[in-house]
Amino acid sequence: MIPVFFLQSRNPNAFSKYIRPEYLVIGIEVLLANFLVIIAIIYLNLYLRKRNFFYKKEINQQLEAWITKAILDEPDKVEQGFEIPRKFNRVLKKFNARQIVIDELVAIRKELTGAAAKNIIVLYEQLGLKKHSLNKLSSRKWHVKSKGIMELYIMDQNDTLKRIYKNTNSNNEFIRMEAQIGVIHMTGFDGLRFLDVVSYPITEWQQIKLLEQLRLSREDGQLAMHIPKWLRSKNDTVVVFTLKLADAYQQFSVHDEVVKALQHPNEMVRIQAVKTLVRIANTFTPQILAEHYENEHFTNRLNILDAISKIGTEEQAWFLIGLLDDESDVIKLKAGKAFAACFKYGMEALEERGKAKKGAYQKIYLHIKAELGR
Amino acid sequence: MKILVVEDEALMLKTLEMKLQKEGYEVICCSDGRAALELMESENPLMVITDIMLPYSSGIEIIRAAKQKPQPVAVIVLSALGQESTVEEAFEMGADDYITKPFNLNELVIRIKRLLKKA
Repeated sequence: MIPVFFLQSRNPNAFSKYIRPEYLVIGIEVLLANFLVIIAIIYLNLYLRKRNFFYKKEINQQLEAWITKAILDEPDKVEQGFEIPRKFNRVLKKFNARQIVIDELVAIRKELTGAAAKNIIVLYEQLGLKKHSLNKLSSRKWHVKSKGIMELYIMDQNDTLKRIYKNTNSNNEFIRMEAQIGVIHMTGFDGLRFLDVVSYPITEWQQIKLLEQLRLSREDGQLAMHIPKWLRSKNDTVVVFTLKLADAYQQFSVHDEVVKALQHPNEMVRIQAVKTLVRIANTFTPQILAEHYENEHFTNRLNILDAISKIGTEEQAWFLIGLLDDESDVIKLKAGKAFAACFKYGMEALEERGKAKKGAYQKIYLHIKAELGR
Repeated sequence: MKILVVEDEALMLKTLEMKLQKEGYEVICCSDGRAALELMESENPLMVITDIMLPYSSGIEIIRAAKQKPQPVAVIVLSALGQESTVEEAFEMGADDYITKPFNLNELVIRIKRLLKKA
């Protein structure tokens, strides 16, 4: 034993000054016991996972062929309902088995459209799995509830829309996200009415997912009607998301409302407003951005210069020339690029300036020349 | 006519197999890229239908291998939404067609028939 060895090789009195040997022995025994408990937990966990894996495999093997046949059945046969073998009804009495089947149906529903997709939905309903998903909506556990929401909207259970909609402003982020995606999945752009009331932030990632979900729906032309209201939302993330909608769906009619967003106190809103204005620009937009420039912080000033390089005209030439002497080389560079893009003789003017002033100006000119390939 | 189907989702693979068998094709199935490359050598299919994201080897590798074979092998790629850049890469490798998920099985069959007619 280590403490005994220690005592034999060293001065025993020196060691026992800090700790009594019997306590050290107890400590080591406790550590060993903990170690054994951890090993036992790991082993148990692996055993349960292995058991679940083989159980799932067994269920899949039993049901796969029948489910596949049902999915590929002709529509007129499906109307009469599927004939469910007795043994499947027995299997589906078990909670875990029902969940396994739902997971498989949801996974394949996501990949198919048309008659096969309809058959999957009929199968889901006929096997009584809808009730299983609905029960999850009453769960207090967020992961169970959000899974229930996902199963219902993937399976096009539009009659559950009201229950799902109630969760679009849930205090749990994951439930909220799933419910928001769900209402859009079920109703398309109409589902965006949750933006009227949502008080929690819509994260960047959620905005991306919502936009992706909207891509699958046909735009119904009512969007422009709602945008002004959403741009006045007290929830800044709603404003940012609305600006992205205006950008993605090129809502030219809301140009003036987007311009107002340039005065928003939140910088993220102003940044997005600049980007959106590039997409829905009219003849006045470049000058509006140039006039707004002085009111902005550095980041958005760069955005404005990028915007002007895309939509600017010769009217902004003097504004840009003024920026070529800015103390920041980054601003000089951006202004130079915008100037070259907007002004017909921009490159020649930059070249002259580079020759006359040398230093950073010459480097800027050469950089722009290389980038534009002129 | 032999068609090799490569898809890692078991139920989806089974569904594709049964659908294509219903249409009169001989279907060889596998669920990963490595097995697909081996089966392409041993079975010499006329066509390969492959997912892009696969275990062990991506769909791109399968396309490359198919196009390097002496006999022409038509390739249809199954891609998820958001994989546009990968689809571009697939076409550069020589893929003949692609279909995005979620897709209609009947549409897939129409594309298969059209490609096999061309070949």
